Amino acid sequence: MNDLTFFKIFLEKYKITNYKIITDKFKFGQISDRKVIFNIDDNCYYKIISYNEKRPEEDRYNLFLDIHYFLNNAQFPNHSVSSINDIELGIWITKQSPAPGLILSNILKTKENKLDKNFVIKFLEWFKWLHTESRRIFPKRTDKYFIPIDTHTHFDTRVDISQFNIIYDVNTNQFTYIDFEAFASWGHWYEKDRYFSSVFEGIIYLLDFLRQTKNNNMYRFLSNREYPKLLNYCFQYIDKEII
Amino acid sequence: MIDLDFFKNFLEKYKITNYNRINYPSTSREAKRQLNREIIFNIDDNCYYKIINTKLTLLDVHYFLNNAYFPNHFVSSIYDTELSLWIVKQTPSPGLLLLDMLKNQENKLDKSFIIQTLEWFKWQHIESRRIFPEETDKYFMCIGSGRHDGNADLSPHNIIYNIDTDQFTIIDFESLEPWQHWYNKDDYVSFVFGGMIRLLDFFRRHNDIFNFISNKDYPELLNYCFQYIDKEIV
Repeated sequence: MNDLTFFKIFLEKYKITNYKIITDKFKFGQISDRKVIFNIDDNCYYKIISYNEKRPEEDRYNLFLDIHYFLNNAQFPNHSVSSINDIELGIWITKQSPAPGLILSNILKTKENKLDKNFVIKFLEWFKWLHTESRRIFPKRTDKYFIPIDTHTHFDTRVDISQFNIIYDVNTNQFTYIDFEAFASWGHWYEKDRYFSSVFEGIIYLLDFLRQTKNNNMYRFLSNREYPKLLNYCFQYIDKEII
Repeated sequence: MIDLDFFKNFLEKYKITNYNRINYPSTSREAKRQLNREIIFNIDDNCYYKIINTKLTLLDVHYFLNNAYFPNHFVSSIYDTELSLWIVKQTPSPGLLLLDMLKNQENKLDKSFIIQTLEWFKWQHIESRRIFPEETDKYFMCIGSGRHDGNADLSPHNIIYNIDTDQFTIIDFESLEPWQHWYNKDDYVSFVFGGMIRLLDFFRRHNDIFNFISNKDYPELLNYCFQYIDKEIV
């Protein structure tokens, strides 16, 4: 199935006609085997990924089923998530209801935003929720740590908690992660040390993004002086509250 | 406009025949073409040359490089208006490229390295005040930023370090746009601190080789770096 047909066949099979394509120039514009849409009729977002020849060898027809199972069984705190493995079409679909708040990259554009240190606490709590929920859903997996999100970069393994993958409500302090990955190449069960490093590194990069001067006139809660202290807080939280 | 002959013209004019081209893994062929730059080691005079094809006017970096007392090696800057080239010539500095230390599992790198990195920034600041005595309200920087992200480019292919003598040397200077060279205090702190964040993160990620920075140490060492920049430099 080529890049253009998988999406067309998806629309036909699922009878979706009234939708908007979500364009994300940093993530999806260059990847031809996936589409993200908002279906106006059922008020849900769909991420559709084709298992095609462009995917790494280990991913072809090889959906990592623990993610699929997790997404369908976890009690997400702020919105509904479900996963469909459509073997007939060779596609993986993640369906999500809208989460409360704004995408973090859009909060960036709001000069008068009220983002504060609660944001840091909330995303740490999300990782704690993720870990607790994975232990409930997979009670036999007690030696490894579960991550259903992208952990690959050009340089190393770190969780992708970038500003494009987070919805946050500054009034209710609700943190929602929206970009899940299910293919085997991401890796999803981590040894303790590697899990720690991957989560901590994701936080280092997210906080550094907020710290940098060009953004910091909006995110005043995170100065250069406070950056190491907040990182230390995050380290202590992961160390004492999660693992 | 890209001048594909600039390197050939440079070699002819400067009579350089016996040289090695230096290629760094982070510099793609295409990126190099766009930047119009080459780096060579001239075997005959035992010097490195960075050659950039540009018609842009050089900024204070050119003056700084020709007047600063670099602690570990010699540096000079040539602006060749005839060929439209900016050339930085450097003698080899003591030690190994930080990137190459990655290949040495038995390296002895320790926290002294961090102190030496910060002292290099302090040296640069003091030297800039000596060379540009009238510039007292801004802070000078002769290096660029990694991936144009607003952090000092302390990437491991730009640093030579001697583990035995703790000599730290930066080898990649930038003089042309889009790099800035004079920063106000807040931006300077952010720029240097951002470079330290990335550099220490590099060590933290390669903790199996550079075992002096653990996840736990990382925030504490960053705090040390911030305090040093805040109290010793600005």
